[in-house]
Order: sequence, then structure tokens, then C-alpha cells
Amino acid sequence: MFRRVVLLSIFAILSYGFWISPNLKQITAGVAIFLFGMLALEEGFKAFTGGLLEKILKKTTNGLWKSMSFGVVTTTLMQSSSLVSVITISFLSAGLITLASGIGIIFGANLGTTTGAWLVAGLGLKVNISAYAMPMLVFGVILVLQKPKELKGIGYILAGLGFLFLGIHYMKEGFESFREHIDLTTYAMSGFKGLLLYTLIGIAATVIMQSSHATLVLIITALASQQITYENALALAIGSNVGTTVTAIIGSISANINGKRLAAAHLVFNVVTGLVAIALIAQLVDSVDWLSERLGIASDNYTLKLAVFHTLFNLLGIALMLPFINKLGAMITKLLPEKQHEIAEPLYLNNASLELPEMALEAVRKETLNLYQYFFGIVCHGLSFRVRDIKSYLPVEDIIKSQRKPIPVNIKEEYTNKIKGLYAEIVNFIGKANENMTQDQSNEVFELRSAGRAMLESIKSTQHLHKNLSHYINNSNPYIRAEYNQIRFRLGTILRALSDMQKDPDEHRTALATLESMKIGIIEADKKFFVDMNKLIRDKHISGVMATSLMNDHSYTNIIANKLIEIASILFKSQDTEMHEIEKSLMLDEDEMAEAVAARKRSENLDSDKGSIDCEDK
Amino acid sequence: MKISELIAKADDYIGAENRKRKSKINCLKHVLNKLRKREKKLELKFAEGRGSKEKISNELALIHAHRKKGLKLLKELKEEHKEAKINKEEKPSDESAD
Repeated sequence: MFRRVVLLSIFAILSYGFWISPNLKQITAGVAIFLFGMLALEEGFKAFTGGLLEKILKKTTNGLWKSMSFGVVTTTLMQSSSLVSVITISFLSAGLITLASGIGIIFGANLGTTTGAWLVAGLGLKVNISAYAMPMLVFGVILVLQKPKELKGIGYILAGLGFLFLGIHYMKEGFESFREHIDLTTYAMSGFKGLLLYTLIGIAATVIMQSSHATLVLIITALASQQITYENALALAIGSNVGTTVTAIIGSISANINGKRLAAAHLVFNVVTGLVAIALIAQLVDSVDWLSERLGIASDNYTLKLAVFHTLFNLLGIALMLPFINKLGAMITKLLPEKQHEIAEPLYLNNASLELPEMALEAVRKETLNLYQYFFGIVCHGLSFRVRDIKSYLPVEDIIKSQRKPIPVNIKEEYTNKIKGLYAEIVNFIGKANENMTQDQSNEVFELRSAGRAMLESIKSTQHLHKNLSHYINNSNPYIRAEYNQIRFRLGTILRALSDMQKDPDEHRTALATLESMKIGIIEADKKFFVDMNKLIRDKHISGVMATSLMNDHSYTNIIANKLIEIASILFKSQDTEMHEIEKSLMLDEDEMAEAVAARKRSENLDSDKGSIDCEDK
Repeated sequence: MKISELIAKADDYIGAENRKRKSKINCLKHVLNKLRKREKKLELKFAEGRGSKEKISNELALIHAHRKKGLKLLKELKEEHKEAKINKEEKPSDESAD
């Protein structure tokens, strides 16, 4: 409702403005074209995501200086700190970078965005950039109409730059004609009051335009046509720096807690920098004068001096905050803690990553692993194991011996609270993300979706098994107790193997061989089960009811075991596609597996025979 | 080194097919190395009698078979690579004979 009112008010104010001043039309059209150019530029850079951008980001953000440099370079190239912050938030939400690296990128982006002021003040106002805008737009639009993604991307970038240049041109022209009719400098305010008021105006303008870059260009063009004073322009620049955090805050609304933390860090950094700039305004102005003199900037070239000021106070902010980057991260983490949910909520799925297919795939992978953690816990409890025991190095037999009492667990409730909703979110997210994905990426997310489905099915079988298992592991009949503990042992060893597999880093994992041996284990256990059960019935150790329960639960056990293998083969396969293909090509068919196991047994028998002959000889 | 040889070397490096094969060989070597490490770890476990002997024995049997299959594949790939190299070296001399 509030948004609608604001939007309507802006429309009303602008309409009135257009009616009373045709120059305002030109200036605002310039701002609109400039913003449209930024959107086109963002669209263009997105064409190169889903590979290159992510790879660069992954490699260049593993250290504070690296991530800061990354922020500077990418923002300079893209001329959009918003795109860089949104990508950073989505990377952080997907768990690919740490909060400290994310803060480093944001620091760098703040410095990178100051290059915009240099470009506009240095080139934009002196050169007739609209002359470059026209061919850029023509070539850009031709390329946008091409089919290949890369050409389309280049087209958007060219068209975006064209619109940016055109927007600057219109703003410049607008202010120049404006000067002839109205003199805005009559509204200039000096002193501390003026500083504060114009800082607030700068914040408001940036919040409305959602771009500090656009605000800054507007300030520079207004300053160039002497519509605002230098002093007020400095205050507006400070305001635009604070106002830009709103974009990141809006972007983090749909992000997870880490994204929110990054947006908070961004806000803290920019507000602190702004306050320091206000407090030290006199010293900063003196420093700008001194530096401008050294750089050969004329004392009356206020636009370039504004660019110097913008860079200087951002540098000052970085210098002040850099030593406290870890403390800042820790403080924000403390202020925005991770919620302990009774009901599982997605940690990695957010709208920001929906636009970047590779990010979306990573988010789905991480979220499925998050779902798996809940699933693992439910299955462990359903079998009366503690998760920490299964994840330990204690032999499974010892765990079974020590944990004879069933662990009370409401599987149905756990399933509803922790699995069903989260899985629905994953399915929903996949449905949306799949639209922009390549065939390979689609196959990958569908595979992850089927892993989630297998978890659901496995939990349903665990629920059935849990009833009898809780009853019989405490039963006075030692035979039925042993049979149910055997079921626990079978599934416990698989759970242990899965836990070990997850602990192993990807480059050391040999999942396929382990999973194949588990499959053999299931087949052998199946054969053994019927032999053992027939004997128990024959010897009247168990009743008919017990035998029926055991048979049903045996089939549930097989379902759970097979589903666990299916899940592991998807979640713990090699992340490197080529490596995974190689591993798949080494997989064995049933005959080869049987032959391999038989050959090993033969050699083991030979060894033991040899051993016994040696002993006899001795 | 002559320029023609240098170009041939660069071509050999840049050649897509060749690069693909080389990367496959490297990947396979990495997988074999992983399997060998796992095999050693399991053999130690088996010898110490930790965990289910039968299960470890089965996994060892499968890893052994995987490695055998992998080594065979590696040999084939290396031979293919060698043949492609020989064919490439023969090609310019054939052209000069024409």
C-alpha cells in the first residue's frame, strides 16, 4: 500500500513538474534513459554469467585483498555497484563465499563506483558523448536481435552504454537550458545545516532512483551548469553513498540470513563513511584542494574536484573500516543470528540466484544437502541411533549394544515439519530456475529433485519400520530382538558409510565403488535373511506374527537401503563432470561384480590355505 | 627449434581432440590414484580387523576390478594419443612428397 502511495505521489509530482517546466522533462528523461542504460548493461553482463563470471568470482574472492580488488575491478567495468552487490548476495546465500569476502567485495564496489564520477566529470562533460551513443545504440540493438547468447549480451552492453551516454547528454542539456530560466543556486544552503539537508536530499534521490551512479551523474551535471554549489554537491555525494545501500537492502529481502548480514554490513560501512565525511568535511575539502593541485586539476574545476572528493572519502571509509572487517562480520552475525527453526526453512534458495542458472543449480544442490541433513537425522532416530554416534568412529555393533532403548521420535511430525515443506520449496524453486538453464543444468537439478523424492520415500518406509523396531528391540524374545538389531546393523553401516562419504572431500571420494559394494551387501543380506528366518520358524524361536512383521520390515529395510544408495549416488558423486563420467565408465555390471567378488574370495581362501599349510609345516 | 616444429607443438597443444584426450587421461589418472588410496586404506582396515570383513572384502574386490578396468582404458587412451601423434607427424611429410 505504502509503495503504491509513494509511486502515485512521484507520478503526480513529476506530472506537475513537466507541466510547469519543459526543462525538467529533459532532465528527468535523461535520468530515465540513464537508468534504462544501466538495466541494459546489467542484462548484458548477465549473459556472461552461468560460467565465466562465477568462475572468476570463485577464484578471486578467497582473500580479503583479492575480494576487494574484485569489487573495484568489476564495478569499474560494469559501472554498477548494484549488480555486483546482488551477485555477491546470491553467492553468499549459496554459501560459495564467506561473509568477510562478501564485505571485501562491497568495500571494493564502493571504491569502484567512484570511477563513474571520474568518467563523467573527466570525459562526459567535455566530450560530446551523445555522438558516440548513436552508433553504440545501432550496433547494440542489431546484436541484441541475434540468437547467440554471447552476441546478445554484447548487444545489451553496447546499447546500455549508448543509453548511459545519451542519458548524460540529456541531463547536461536539460540543466543548461534550466539555468536560463531558473537559478537553483538561490536555494543553496551553506554551513552545517546545508550539509545535513543536502545529504538527506542525496539519500532520498538515490533511494528513489535506486542508483547512486545516476544520482552522482545528476549532481555532476547540475554542478557543471552551476545549478548547485560545490559545497552542496559534496553533501549530495555523501548522501548518494548512504542511499545506495537501500538497493542492497531490498536485494537481501529475499536472501537468506547471510545475504541480510551482508546488506547490514554494507549499510554500516556506508553510514560510518558518510558520518566520518560529514564530521571531517573541512579537512576533506582541504585535502581535495591539495590533491587537486598536485593532480593538475584547476581550482575552479569543481566537477573533477567532486570526483576527487568522492574517491577520497570512500578511501577514508575503507581505511577506517578495514582493520575491523572481521569484528564487523562477527558483530553483525551476533546481531542477526541464525534462527533455530522447529520448521525447516530453505537456507540457500533465494530469488537473487534464480537469475543466474549456475548459482541456482548450486543453491538447489546446497538446499538438497540441507534437506539431507534433516533426513539423515530422522532416519537415524527412526532406527534408534543418535546422529553423533553414527557420525563417530565407534563400531556400529557397539552403538547397537549401548543403545538398546528406542529413541522416542514422532516421524510423521518430523516429516511434516522438516522434510515436506522444504522439499516443496526445492521443487518450486527448480520449476522457476529451470527456465533459464541449459540441458545439462536441467538434468542436474532434476537428479537432485529425484534425490529429494527418494528421501521422502525412504522416510515413509522408516516410519513403518520404526513401529515394530521400537517394539522388538526391547522384546524379551532374544531371537526377534537379534533380528531387529540385525536390521539396525545393516542400515547403520550404510548410514555410517554415507557419513564417511560426506566427510571425504570431493577430490578423495570414491563413492561409486563403495555404493556398488553396498548393493552387493543388500543382495547377500536378502538371501541370508530368508535362510535365517526359515530356521527361526522351524525351530519355533519366533511366532507367526513376529515372522510376518519381520518379513514386512525386511522389505522396508531393503527400500530404505536402496534409497540411501540412490541418494548418495546423486549427492556424493564427483562434482567435476568429466571425473564423474570417467568414474561411471568404470562401473561394473552384475556379472563383472560377481566375478570380482568371487575372484577376491578365491584369493582369500588360497591365502588362508597357504597360511594353514605354513603353520602345519612349522 | 624450428618455427615449423614450434607451430606443430602449439597446434598439438591447441588441438581440441588432443586436448580432450589429454584431459581424459589426466582425469582417469586422478580417479585411479583415488581408487589406489582407498584400496590401501581398506587393506589396512581389513588387516587390522576393523569393521565388517566381508563388506571390506567386497569393496576391495570392486575397487580392484575398477582399477583393472581403468588401467585398461588408460592404456587404450595412451595408444590412441600416440597414434594420433604419429599420424600428425606423417601428414606434413606426405604433403611434401606430393
